[in-house]
Amino acid sequence: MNAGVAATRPAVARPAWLESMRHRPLVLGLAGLGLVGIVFVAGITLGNVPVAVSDTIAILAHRLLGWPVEVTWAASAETIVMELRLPRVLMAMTVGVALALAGATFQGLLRNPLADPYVLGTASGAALGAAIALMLPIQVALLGFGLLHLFAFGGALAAVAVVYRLSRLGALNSLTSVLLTGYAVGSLLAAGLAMTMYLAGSNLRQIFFYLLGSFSLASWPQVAIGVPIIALGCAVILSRARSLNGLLLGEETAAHLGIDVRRERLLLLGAASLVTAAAVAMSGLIGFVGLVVPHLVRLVVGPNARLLLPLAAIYGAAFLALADLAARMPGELPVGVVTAVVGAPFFLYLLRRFRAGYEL
Amino acid sequence: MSGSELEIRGLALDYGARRVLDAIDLRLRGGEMVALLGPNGAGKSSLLRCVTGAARPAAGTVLVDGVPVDEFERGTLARRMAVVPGQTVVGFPMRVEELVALGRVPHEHPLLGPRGADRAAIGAAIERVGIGHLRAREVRELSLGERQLAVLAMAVAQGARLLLLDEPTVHLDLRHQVAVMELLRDLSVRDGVTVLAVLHDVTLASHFAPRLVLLDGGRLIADGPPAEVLTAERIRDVYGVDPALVMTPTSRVPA
Repeated sequence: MNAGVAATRPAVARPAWLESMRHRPLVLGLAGLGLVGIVFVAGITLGNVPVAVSDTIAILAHRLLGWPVEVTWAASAETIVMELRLPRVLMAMTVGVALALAGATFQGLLRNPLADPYVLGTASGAALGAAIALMLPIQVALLGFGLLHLFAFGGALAAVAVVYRLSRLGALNSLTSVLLTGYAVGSLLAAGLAMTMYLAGSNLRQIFFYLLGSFSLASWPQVAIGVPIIALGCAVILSRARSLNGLLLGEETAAHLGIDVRRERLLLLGAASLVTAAAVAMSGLIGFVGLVVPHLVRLVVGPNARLLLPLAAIYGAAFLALADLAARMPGELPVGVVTAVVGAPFFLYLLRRFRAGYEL
Repeated sequence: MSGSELEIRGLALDYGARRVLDAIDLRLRGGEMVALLGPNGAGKSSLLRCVTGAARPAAGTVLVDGVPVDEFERGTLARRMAVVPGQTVVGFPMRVEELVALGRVPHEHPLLGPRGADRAAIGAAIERVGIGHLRAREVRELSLGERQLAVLAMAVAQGARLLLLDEPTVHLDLRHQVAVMELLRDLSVRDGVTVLAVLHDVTLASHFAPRLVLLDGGRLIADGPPAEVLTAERIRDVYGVDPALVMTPTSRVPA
């Protein structure tokens, strides 16, 4: 990292509304929650078979809150809402929270703005695990869960564990070492994935479908298992806001601020890897959410993790549920394609607009 | 509140097979300001790293208020001792007040965050260092001098009774060098903060610090008031330069 002396260009003046938002994180949070609510209802209402908004709300009030609403809707509408769309929207929001928080954590921990939830090999590990599961002759499936989910989850965690073990033994500066090891292990796993796909034959399409990410297979059992795992990891991350703040100026400064750097790094890496692995196992590889959402929030409220983390979680949920809605409106596009198509240009625009140059 | 006492006893440090510090004995009373001088490689920064706990000494002990540093609970030590590095890399865009707020990390509630006392300390530190006009500026847009003042404000906000600085005036122009040194002297004299600063500029050090400690080759070779420590012989021996090039206290221009 080249310290200090980097020439800094003056930033383009921030628009007044953006500046005023910076001092109103509560307004941003409430607006985000409002958006989550709107996307939630829209995600259940809209689709191939439209269900009226009034019916949607009535069904939800009846089934979830137990309100004594008179049943005026078709039984098929209730099935669509309760069995297909509700778990799907919940899954998309949960994965959105997971990816946004994991992205913010990895960026803060590695002090690298280009870090995303997949930086330590989770993506390649999960992909290879899923591909191997699809290749196996045995197909165990229980309540919508199969070998695929298990292997993807295990593959992602195994990849991070290998990266962590190897990088700690390296002689390089720990941060650089972690990043480079992540890259190397990721490349190796990608080669394994390519080989598996080459041998896959008729399973190729399934593997490809998984790699692009989708919520079309979301089900209640998935929600029941995925949500608690992700909630646990997210709770750990949210409770470590102080450590992430202390780490903003590097590990040595963090130690001077009383942070147990070794322990906090392990806790945060573990939690972020856990939620990423769970997210990837549920929905495949969905890019750009974990990279773009934390940056967007940081542009508005600054780097303070106490604001960044909760706001990234809220907007991550809204963004991914919205992207999933956009993905299924024209038929059934992979949601990972939608997030990339929307996320990448928007991110480039923001970088140019605000010249959010980073010191590296 | 008075400054913390710092005592270093028989300290030795090895980097691999090489001994970089040997038999260092040094004691700072509460509220004292001491400049640590010496040529490149003399062991100044290594000594500081032993005090902060970043380096593990091969022998000897470092005591803060009579307690060995490695026996402190991390948070307690961070509330008592602040460290200012020569350069601070700001990984993500942040504003001056956000940087200064990081000084409260050891004080704030882990879950609930900064409280009223923390916010008051942040505001007071910004005023104290005189950077109120920079409050809402991006740290990366500041000059190096302004940035160093912001980092100092962060250390002031930390409210520590012992302040360790590693070349805090490096890269700064004359005006900012003086501003930083005046602030350090003020913290020592008015607030009773104990200050130990590694400095390269002999003139600056002898002007502002009432006590100098000279290191050479990992050993402490002189300790006392500037006029006693910076003799012509020592400057020739230690730095290998003509003493006339260095303005010692006797040749000091009136401030």
